[in-house]
Amino acid sequence: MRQSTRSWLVIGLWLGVVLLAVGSISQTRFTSDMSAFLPASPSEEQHLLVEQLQEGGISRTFLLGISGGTAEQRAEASRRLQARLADEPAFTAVQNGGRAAVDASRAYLFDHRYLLSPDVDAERFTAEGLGEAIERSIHQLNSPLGDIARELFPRDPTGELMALLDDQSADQGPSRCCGVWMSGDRSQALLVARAAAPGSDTDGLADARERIHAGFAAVREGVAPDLQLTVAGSPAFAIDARDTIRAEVQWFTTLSVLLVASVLLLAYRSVPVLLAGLLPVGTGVVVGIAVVGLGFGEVHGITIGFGTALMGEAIDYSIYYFVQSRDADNDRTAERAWRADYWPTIRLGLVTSVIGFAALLFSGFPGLMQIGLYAITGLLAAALVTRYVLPVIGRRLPRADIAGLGRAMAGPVRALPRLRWPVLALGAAALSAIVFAPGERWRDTLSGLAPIDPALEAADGELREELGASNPRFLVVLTGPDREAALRAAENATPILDRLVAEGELAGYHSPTDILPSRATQLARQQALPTAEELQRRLEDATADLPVSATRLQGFVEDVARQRELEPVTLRDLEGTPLWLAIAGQLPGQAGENAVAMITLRTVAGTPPTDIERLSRALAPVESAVVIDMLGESNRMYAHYLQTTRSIALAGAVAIVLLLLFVQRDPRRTLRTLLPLALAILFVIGGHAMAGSALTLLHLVGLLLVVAIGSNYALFFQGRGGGSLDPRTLASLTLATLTTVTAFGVLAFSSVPVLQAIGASVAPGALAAWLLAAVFSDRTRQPAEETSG
Amino acid sequence: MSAPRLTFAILSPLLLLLSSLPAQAIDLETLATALAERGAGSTAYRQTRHLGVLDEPLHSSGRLIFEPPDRLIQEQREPEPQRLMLAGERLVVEADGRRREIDLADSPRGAALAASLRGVLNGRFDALEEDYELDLDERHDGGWRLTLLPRDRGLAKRIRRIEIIGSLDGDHAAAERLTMEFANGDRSVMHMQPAARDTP
Repeated sequence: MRQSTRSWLVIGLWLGVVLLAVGSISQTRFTSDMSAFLPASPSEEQHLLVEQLQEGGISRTFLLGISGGTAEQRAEASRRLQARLADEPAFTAVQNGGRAAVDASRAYLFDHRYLLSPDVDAERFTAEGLGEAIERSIHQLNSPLGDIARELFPRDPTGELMALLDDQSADQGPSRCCGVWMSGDRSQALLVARAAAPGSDTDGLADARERIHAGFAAVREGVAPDLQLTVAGSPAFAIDARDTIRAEVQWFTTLSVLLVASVLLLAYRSVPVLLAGLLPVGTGVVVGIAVVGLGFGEVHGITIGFGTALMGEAIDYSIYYFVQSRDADNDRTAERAWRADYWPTIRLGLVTSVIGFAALLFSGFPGLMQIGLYAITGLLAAALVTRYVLPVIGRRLPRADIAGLGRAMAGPVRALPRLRWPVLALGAAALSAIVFAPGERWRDTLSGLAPIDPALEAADGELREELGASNPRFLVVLTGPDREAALRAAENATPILDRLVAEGELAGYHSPTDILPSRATQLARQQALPTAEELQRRLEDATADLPVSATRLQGFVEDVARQRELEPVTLRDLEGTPLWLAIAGQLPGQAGENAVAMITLRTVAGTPPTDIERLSRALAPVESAVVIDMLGESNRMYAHYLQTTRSIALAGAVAIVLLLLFVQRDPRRTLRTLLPLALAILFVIGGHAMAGSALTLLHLVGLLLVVAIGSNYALFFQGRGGGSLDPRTLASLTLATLTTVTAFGVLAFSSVPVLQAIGASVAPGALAAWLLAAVFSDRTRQPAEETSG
Repeated sequence: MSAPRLTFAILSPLLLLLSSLPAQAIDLETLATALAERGAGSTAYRQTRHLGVLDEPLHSSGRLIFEPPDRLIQEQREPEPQRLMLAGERLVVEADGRRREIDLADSPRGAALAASLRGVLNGRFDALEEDYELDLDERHDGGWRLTLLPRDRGLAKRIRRIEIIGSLDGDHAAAERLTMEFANGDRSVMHMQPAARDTP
C-alpha cells in the first residue's frame, strides 16, 4: 500500500515536471543561426569581428550574377531584376550600377561638392586660388572631354566635381557595360542585394534568397529564357550550411533512431519495453530544452541535435535497467538488487559524464555552452527517470532475457585480458603516431566547421573579385564615443596611410571619409567659403585676365552660397545611392559603448603578407587606431577557444580522476578504470593522425562523449565489490555499445563536417572503450563460468 | 540557251557596272561602305570651340586614329597633350598622368561627340541610327553632307544637331568637317585633313 502511494507520487511528480517543461518549451524561441557557434568574444577586435560576421553588411549582402543570353539581354535582366527587388521590403538596397543610381549619386555629390571635395579650403577661394582653378578648368574645356566639362563649367568653374569623382574612382568599382555592372569579360551582369534581415536571421535571409530567385524567374520570362542566375555572398553560405546541416541531421538521426530501435527491439522483443526505454531520453530532451530555453533565452536547433546525441548515454541507462533488473524468477527482488548493486555504478558514471560535459559550459562558444547545459540537465533528468520512474513502470513490463547473450560472450571476453600487453604496445604505437605523424594534429582555423559547397565557393570568389568587394583582410579600425569621433580619427589616419602608399608599403586604402568626411571637416570647408558678395568681388578679380567674365558664373556664386548654409551630410542622407553601399559596411552601427569606422587596406600584390606590427607603429599617433588582420584574427580567436576548451577538458579529466580515486579508494582499480578510457582516446586520436585528418573542436566534443559512455563500461567491468560480472551486465554493456556504435557510426558518413567529426570519434571510441574495459577488467570480475550464471 | 537566261547573262555585267558608279544618287549604305572601305587610318585635325560662357574661342589640334569597326583614338597635341580612346563601349581618357574610364552607356553627353565621330569615320551608321535621325544630301561639288538630329528628347536637350561634310572619291569617302551645335548655342567645329591611309 505504501509502496503504491509512493509509486503514484513518483509518476505524478514526473508527469508534472514534464508538463511544466513542455509548457516552458512552448514559450521558447528556436533559432538556427550558425553564428551561435562563433565564440562569444572577449577582446574589442574579436567583438567587432563577430559582430561583423553576425550582423555586419557583409553577412546580409547577396552577390548576384546573371549569365547567358546576349550582353544586352543580361543588362536588361539586371535592370528589371533591380527594379523588382528594390520595391520589396525584404531588401534595403539593390544595386546593379544602373544609370539612375549613378546619376543619383552624382547629383548628390554635385549638390554637396563644396562640403565633400578635399580641395575646398580658404586658399582655394581667394582671388588667386579661384583664378588658378578656373584657368585649369578652361584647359579642361579645351580637351577631348571638353563636352562633359562644358556643361558643368558655369556652375562649377573650379572643377570640384571632377576632383571629387577622381578622388573616389581611385577605388575603382566593377566594370560596366550597357549601363550596368558587368564582369570584366562581359559574361555576367552583376548585382548586389542587401537583405533587410540581419545576418543572424538565417530564415529571413533564406526568404530573401527565395524572392531573388522568384524575381529572376519572372524577369527571365520577359527577357530571354536562357539567362541564368548565380546567387552567392556570405548569406548564401549561411543558408546552404544551415540547410545541409538540417537535412543531414534529420536524415541521419532518423536512420540512427531506426537502427537503434531495431537493435533494442531484437533484444527486448517487446514494443512497450522499447517505448518505456525511451522515457529517460525523452524526459531528458524535454527538460533539457526547457532549461536551455530558460537559461539562454533561445534554443539553437543544433543544440538539440548534438545535445541529444550526447545524451545517447541515457539510452544506455534504460538498457542497463531493463537488462540488469530482469530476473525470470523474481522481478521484485531483482529490482531491489539492481538498485543496490548497479545503480551506484550508473550514478558514478553519470557524475563522470556530467564533469566531462561541464567542459562545454566553459568553451566560450554560446552554441557549445548550450549543448553542454542541455546534455547535463538532460542526463540528470534521464538518470532520475531511470532510477525512480522506470522501476514503477518496468515491473509491469515482461521482456526477453538476454542473459544468454552475456553467457555466450563470457568465453571470448574472458580471453580478452590476455591482450593486455599487446594493447599497451598498441597504445604506445598510437602515442608515437600522434607525436610523430606529419601534419597538424589540431586544426585551429575556423574553416571546415561548416559544410561549404565548392561550386558556391568558386562562384562567390568570382563575383566578389568582379564586384571589387573582396572581403578585405586587413582593416584599420577607429573607435570613438560617437560616429563623428570615429570619422575624425579616420581623417587623422588617412595622411599616414597616404604616406605608406607613397612609400610603397600599401597598394591603397578605402576610407569612409573619402565619401563622408566628418562633420567637423565639412563645417570647416563651409567656413572656408566666402559670402556671396565677397565671392562675387574675388571672382571679378580672379577673372580679370581670363577669357571668362564673372557675370556668366552666377550659377557658381549661387551654388556656393547655398552649400554654405547646408546641414552637413550624414550617412543617412546617402541612403539609396551607391555612395551609401560603398561606405555603410565600414561604418557599422553603434557597437556597445563605441562607434566604429573602418578603413580597408589593399596590400601590395606579390609581396609578403603585410606586417601588422609596422602598420600599427606607423598608425600609433592616431590614438584609437587598431590594425586587424581579419583572417588571422578569426583563426587566432578559434585557436584560442580550441585551446581553452582543451584545457578545460583536461581539467575535467583531472576532476574525474580525483573523483574516482575518492570513490573507489583503490588507486589500482582507478588506474584500471581509467586506462581503457585513456587508451580509447589515444586510439581515436592516433587513428586520425594516421589517416592524416586534423582534429577540430567537434572531435573534442566527440571524445568527451567517449569518456562519458566509456566510463560506464569501465566502471561496470571494474565493479564495486568483488564478485563476478554476471551475464546480464555483460549483455547490457554489449547492447549499449552496439546501439552507440550504430547510432554514431552512421554519422561518420555525413558530409557535414560537424556530424562527421562527432561520428568518426564517438563510434570507434565507444567500441574501443568497451573492448579495452574488458581487457583491463578486474580479474575477480571476469565473467562467471556458465555454471555459476 | 533560253531567252531569259541569255538576257540575264548580258544584263548582269551591266548592272554591276551601274551599281559601282558613284555619280548616282548617294545613299546612306553606299556612304557607310565607302567610309568603312578606307580601313584603319589616321588624320590630323583642328578643333575650334565657341562657348557662350567664354569671350574667345578655344583652339586645339591633334591627330585622329581610327580602326574599324569600333575603335577611335583622339590624340590631342595642342594646347596640352591628352589622349582619348574609344573602344567598344569604353571611353578611356588619359590626361595629367591620370586615367579615367567611362562607360558609354553611362555618359551619353560626354560621349556624344566621340561616338558620332567614330560612327562617321568608321562608317558605322547602324550605331549612329540608334541615337540620331540621319539625313544625307549631296553637295554640288560631288561631296556629301550628313546631318544628325537627336531622336531622344534627353539628348536633344543637349545637342541640337551634328553636321558632317565630306568627300567621295571613287569608292572611298572621307569626312572633312564635323560641326556640333549644342542646345545652348555652343558650337564645336572640327576640321579633318584628307586621310593619310595607315600612316601614323
